[in-house]
Amino acid sequence: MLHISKVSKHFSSNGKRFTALDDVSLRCNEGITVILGPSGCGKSTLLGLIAGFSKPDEGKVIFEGAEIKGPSKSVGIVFQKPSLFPWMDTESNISFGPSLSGEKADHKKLLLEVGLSEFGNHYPFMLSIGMQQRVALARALANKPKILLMDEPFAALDAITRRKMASLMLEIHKVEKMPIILVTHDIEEAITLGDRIIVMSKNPGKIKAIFNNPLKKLSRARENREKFFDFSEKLSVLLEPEIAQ
Amino acid sequence: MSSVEKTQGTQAKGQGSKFYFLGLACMLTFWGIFTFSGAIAPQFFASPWDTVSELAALLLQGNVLSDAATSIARLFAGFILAMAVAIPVGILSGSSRKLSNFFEPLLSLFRYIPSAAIVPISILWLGLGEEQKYFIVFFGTLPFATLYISNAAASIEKEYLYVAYSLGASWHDALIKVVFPKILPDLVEIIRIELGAAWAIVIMAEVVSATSGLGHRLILAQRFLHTGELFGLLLLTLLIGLVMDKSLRFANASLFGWAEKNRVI
Repeated sequence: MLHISKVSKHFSSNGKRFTALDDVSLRCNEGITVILGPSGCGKSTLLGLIAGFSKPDEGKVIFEGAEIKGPSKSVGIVFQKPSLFPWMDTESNISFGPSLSGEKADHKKLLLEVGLSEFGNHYPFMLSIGMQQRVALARALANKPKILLMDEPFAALDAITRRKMASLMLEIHKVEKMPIILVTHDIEEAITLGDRIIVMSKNPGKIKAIFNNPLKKLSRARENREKFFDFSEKLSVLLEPEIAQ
Repeated sequence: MSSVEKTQGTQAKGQGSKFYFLGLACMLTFWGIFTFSGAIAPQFFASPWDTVSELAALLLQGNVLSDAATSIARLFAGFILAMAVAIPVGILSGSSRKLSNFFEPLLSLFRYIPSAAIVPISILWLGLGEEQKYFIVFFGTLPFATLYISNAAASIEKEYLYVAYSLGASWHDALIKVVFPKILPDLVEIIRIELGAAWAIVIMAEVVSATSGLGHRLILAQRFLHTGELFGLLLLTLLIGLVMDKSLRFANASLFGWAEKNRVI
């Protein structure tokens, strides 16, 4: 479905060239793919290329057989910051995408799905960050995207809200059945959510290892503590030199 | 906001207005002592009482109101023209680096020409009619307003635009449905600040070259050494500016509560 082929991306700063991504190749089909890596490893840059916000300097990003050349409705995105439009209430935020093409969003169904049925008339400043993030998720889903990108969506949340959001994401994935690419630097989050885990290294950003998550098939990864800890340790060992850089 | 924060906020606000009135009272006291004591001749400095009574007399005569209306009409004609250019140009310039590179050097240069310096050339081009006053207000306001609006548009977090584009917005949609509503509270604030500057410019233009308007009345009062009237007219000019300023402040607070809340967060 999504094919990233030999992609490189460079940036220039003060006359110096910096390689954010170097020869990255990846295929994503069904399920939840987690891109795990330390800050500065190019994972958000990679997500930006998939979303069509920028173009690769080398290589191609192909989605459903066509090269991605710009943002499109088939690729939904949720950022770390909810970025809700502050002048719109919850319903209008959710309806924004469909309204652009003259359609109507089923905001009642979406609000129910994210557990905010009673907050349709609330403005973003009236909601907690966790609630805002749920609205951002509903807004992305309103356009019925074929793939959902999530750029560290739980990073700004407290531990309890983070756990709630994670299980909400899994539920939504079960219902909507669209592939999800989630970027995170949290190993535990990667193990509990990802069907596949892509570990990235930095300077330059490259794929270091790809794992099919052995614990995701277990209904509750944390119940099998030993295996969870072993896998978490394995990922930590891979990430340690990157964080030390 | 917690009850403690609310209380602290209310206290700070209360203290702020206390100091505001204290400052005003001090100024009036010094002004009164200075003029009533005879330290300075009333031909040069009118007392607070003379100022207020002259203003009341002017208002009762009624002529001053038509001069004030003339000045306000000139202000709005020039200002609306300036905003009609500044808003689209500012938004476009703030949303595109290429357009910003095109407009910004031009506008930055024109900022360094004072409005008073443009009066001679404006008379040469447009004579002494109304168009010349509009032109001075337009010229004095446009570069500043455009740059401020451009900065407001450029400072929008890129995530808002990314979200809009990924939801299917075109560049045009993003400008109209995201950039414009997002900067509206800033826009009203810019209008408030620039309207104050434009009010000063129109009075200056009338002082230099006009046969009507508050500026013209000021110069007449000065010529005939009617110092009380001069001070009364200055007070009226100040009050009109204050009413415009407070109205726009009120409009901003009541229309864009979400922006204020966002600033707090």
